Amino acid sequence: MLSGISFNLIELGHFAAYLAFFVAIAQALAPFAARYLKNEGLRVITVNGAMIVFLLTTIGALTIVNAFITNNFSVLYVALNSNTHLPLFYKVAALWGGHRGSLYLWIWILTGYSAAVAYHGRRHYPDRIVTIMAVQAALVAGFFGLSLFMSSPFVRLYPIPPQGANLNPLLQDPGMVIHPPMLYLGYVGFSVPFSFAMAALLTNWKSELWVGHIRRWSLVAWGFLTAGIIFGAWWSYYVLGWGGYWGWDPVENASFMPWLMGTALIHSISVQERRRMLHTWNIFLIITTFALSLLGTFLVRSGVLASVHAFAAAPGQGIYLLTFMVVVLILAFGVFLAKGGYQQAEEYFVSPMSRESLFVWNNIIFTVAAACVLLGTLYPLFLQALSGARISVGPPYFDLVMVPIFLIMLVVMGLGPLVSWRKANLDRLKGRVVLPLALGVAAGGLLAWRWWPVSWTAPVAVAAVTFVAATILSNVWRAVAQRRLAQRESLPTAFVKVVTGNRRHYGGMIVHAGILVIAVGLVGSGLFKSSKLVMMAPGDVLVLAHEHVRFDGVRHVRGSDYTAVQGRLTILNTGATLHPEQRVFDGNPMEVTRPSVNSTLLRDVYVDIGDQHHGKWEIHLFVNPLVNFIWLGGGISVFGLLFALSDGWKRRARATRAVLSTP
Amino acid sequence: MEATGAGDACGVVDAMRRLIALWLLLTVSVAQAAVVHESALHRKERQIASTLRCTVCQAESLAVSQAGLARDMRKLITQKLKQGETPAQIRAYFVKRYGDYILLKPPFNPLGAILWIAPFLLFVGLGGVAFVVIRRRSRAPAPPPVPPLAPAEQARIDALTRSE
Repeated sequence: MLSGISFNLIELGHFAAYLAFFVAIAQALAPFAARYLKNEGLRVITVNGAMIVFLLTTIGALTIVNAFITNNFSVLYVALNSNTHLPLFYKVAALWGGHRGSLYLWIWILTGYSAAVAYHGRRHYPDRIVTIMAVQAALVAGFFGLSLFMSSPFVRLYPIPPQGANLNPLLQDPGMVIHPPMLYLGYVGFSVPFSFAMAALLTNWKSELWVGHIRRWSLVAWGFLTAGIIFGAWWSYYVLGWGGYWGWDPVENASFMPWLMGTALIHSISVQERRRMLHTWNIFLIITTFALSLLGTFLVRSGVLASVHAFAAAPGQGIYLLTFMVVVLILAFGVFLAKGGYQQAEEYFVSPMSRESLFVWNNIIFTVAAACVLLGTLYPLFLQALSGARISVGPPYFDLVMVPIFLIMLVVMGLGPLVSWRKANLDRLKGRVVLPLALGVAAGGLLAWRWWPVSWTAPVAVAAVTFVAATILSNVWRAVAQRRLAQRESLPTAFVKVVTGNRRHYGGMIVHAGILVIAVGLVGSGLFKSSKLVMMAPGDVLVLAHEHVRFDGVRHVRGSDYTAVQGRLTILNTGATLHPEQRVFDGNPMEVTRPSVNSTLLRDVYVDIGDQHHGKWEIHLFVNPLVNFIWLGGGISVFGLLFALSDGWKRRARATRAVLSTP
Repeated sequence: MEATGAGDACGVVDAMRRLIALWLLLTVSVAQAAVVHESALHRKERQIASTLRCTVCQAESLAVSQAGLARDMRKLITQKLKQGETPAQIRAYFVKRYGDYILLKPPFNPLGAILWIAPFLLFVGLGGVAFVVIRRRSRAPAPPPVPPLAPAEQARIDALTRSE
């Protein structure tokens, strides 16, 4: 074979990506061309292009994955993030293991959403799909520009290195494999409501006709974002070895802000559906949520923030992203101000004491929460830029400011579903609140009495959680009792009928229950954790929170691409063993601690092993109560969300049956 | 081919692992267990370190950081504690050397005050606006007339309602 002349699949991917970029530009420009050339047929490009762009981007992604699998170190991105010893599983996941590839994944997901909306829209809203797709395509083109011109994953290397570096050792964990795609599916998912809102503003599309569609898209995005954040916390807990799961790191904040605004949005949308109000506010929320998604991307990828997650990136990228973000936002808010007047509420509040006004309070609390996180994240940057003074805003600040906000959120979460739409009947409301409130106060008091002295947040949080749980249960109970009375059904039948009969409402209640479970986990692990850092010789026993843990010694182990010093500890209470490791990965001098966790539902025993001095090893032992509640609550929330979404599938199936049965 | 090789290696490693575990269990169980305690000094040092930022790291506290400088600074804290300094004095020492930057909790001074005031201002501001709007709207006699739907839109709504 002639040297130097060989076809390399990665170049096919590179070509496909460029082609996708140009098709996206054509998509975005086609509506203008159609108008000026007076040729309506051109608009088809905008819609059909979405599928083509998705296919081309997929080809690009597959060739990168192929380059990883075949150890094609002539590709810079592969050479930097993989080597021949990397397990296959991580080679595939290395697609999003670095800056270039993860940006490409972001775009891939964006094109996937576009294609899905195009497919869906052609049947359901054919008259508006062109504008929606044009906005989506402009976003795709903007991000492709960044990827292809400033941080292309297709860049080649010559001479070809015989061996690659390695995937960042911290990322070699299943949690990290799932976390980025989930998070991006969430971030990027909020581009869909954004494009809908833009199209609605530009084409004077009545809110009632599109808000139902974006409710579902927003719920999907919110679900992925929630799952992504939970997986991130999980990864942080099981891999980083600091005994915690959330550090108010700027990049964590960057994912939390869109989550907060997205949560406000999914609540606010249902007010619009039910009561035909808050139209402009919803559009504002949609734009803000997507803006915060963009801001998160900018913060992570521009290098302006010091963070555990920040990607090392060239300065040009930061400027590109900042410009792109500013242009998108100026256009979006400009259109909003110019044409928002058309999207006006059709009904007004009847009374300040109503479910819709409580939804407004929910929105305000979530907005304040997002604004506080934004301020805490960006203020140090602005301060340094403007005056040169440097300050830090770390976990102690966020804990102090956000915990009271979370507590207010919990209380509103309990009250909201109790209050009726339009105008609350105060007498009935009082009857519904008294018992849960009493239960809550009792639970909080009991906790304070049992675990005295304790921070004030623990009893208050437990009281709030109990209150909300009681309201949810009584809410279900009332509906079941009513149905039994009317239909004379048995208790289980009535329960199933009630819950599956209104999936949106009870799906929401399940999500709320999941949040409560998470709250219990946060209180337990945040306020009742204990830890000790000691030097231990083999045979020594450490006592922490009634757990007796014996250090048995260490040995050297070899993994697929690392060597490690592995400690062995025995929990004498149960006989379980722990194996924390201190790993050194091939081709990377950095030592990586890998904690070991023994989990039961009620508590985790979590241990790190450090350096050796004079025959003794540094052992960092944590006993973290109720951490599993956080993961469990996350699962319940996602299940509740799916349950709420299943409403639409059911309705569609029924509609299809109805169509088929009509002669 | 590679995969089966790796599998064999895993099997061998596993077997060795078990042997070593058994050996450890036997040797250690005869040794006398000694309960170790964390010194109060150490505990205090970690408490102080968790409120200070590691200056060379990416958003990590001194207590968590593995960096060499963080280790040295932790040693310095221990030293100062041994000399009888209070946590406040030690924090003040670090602030004098590194500025407010080292404090993870921003101070309530002209530079940091906005961070502490803003949450209240935001809440009062946004809440006030919402309160006024809701009250005024709920007292308004009647909503403005709804703009009539275009025939095409009406037809579409009818079609959608029928399909339900």
